[in-house]
Amino acid sequence: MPSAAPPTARLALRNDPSEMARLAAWLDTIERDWALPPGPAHALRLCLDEAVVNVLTHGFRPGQPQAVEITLLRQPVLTAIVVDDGAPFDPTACALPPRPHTLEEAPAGGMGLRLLRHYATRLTHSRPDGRNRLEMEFMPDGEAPG
Amino acid sequence: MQMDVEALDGERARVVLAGRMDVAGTAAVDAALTELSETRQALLIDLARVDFISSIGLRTLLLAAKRLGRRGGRVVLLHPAKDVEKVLWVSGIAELMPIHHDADAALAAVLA
Repeated sequence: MPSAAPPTARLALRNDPSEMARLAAWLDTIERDWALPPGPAHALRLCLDEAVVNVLTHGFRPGQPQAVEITLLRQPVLTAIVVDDGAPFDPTACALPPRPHTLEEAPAGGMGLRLLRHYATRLTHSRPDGRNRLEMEFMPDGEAPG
Repeated sequence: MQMDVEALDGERARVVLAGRMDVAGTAAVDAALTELSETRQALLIDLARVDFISSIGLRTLLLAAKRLGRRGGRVVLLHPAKDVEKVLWVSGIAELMPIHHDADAALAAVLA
């Protein structure tokens, strides 16, 4: 059945950790208005949380008025595009830490990247105009292998 | 997010979390969970009403378990919802701390 919901949505976030709550509230609205199925909705929320917090934590110097822009496309495949003008960072290229087998050896970091690569069915990074552009796709029943 | 703590005995506690363990949610419980992991011997963390967890929440659970582990203690997780449990497995956390779906078994594990 054709949907009256808009096929795209955009959100710009400032370089401020409090913006994560605005992202969560925006996703609540998108999930409802676009009637997203639970699987892709969960993957979208998780990957956007990981991608954006990574930019805010590592990509920017605190206090600088830089921004993260998020574009969501409903068709043909649910897609999130995250563009930021922070430090160059390609989450598709950096090595994941080895999976720990004991609590003692487990590092506190690296889990976000592992989740991002698993839950996005396609993940691509580019650097147009000196900015990071991360494109994430979420197939209806898909998660990346591994 | 919300956090309720119930003492099981002088050294062990049951922690019931509710809400989203995202950046904002985790910030609301991180200090209290950290303090519990420094002052108790074992924590039973009930995740039944946690409907979302991202790496920031996983990190808080992991650091609590590491702190307790260094003192010979442990964290036991109870009743994660399907999406949350999948994240625990994909991230590797599930291999580092026990997950139970039976409250009696979880209680036995935390009191052991």
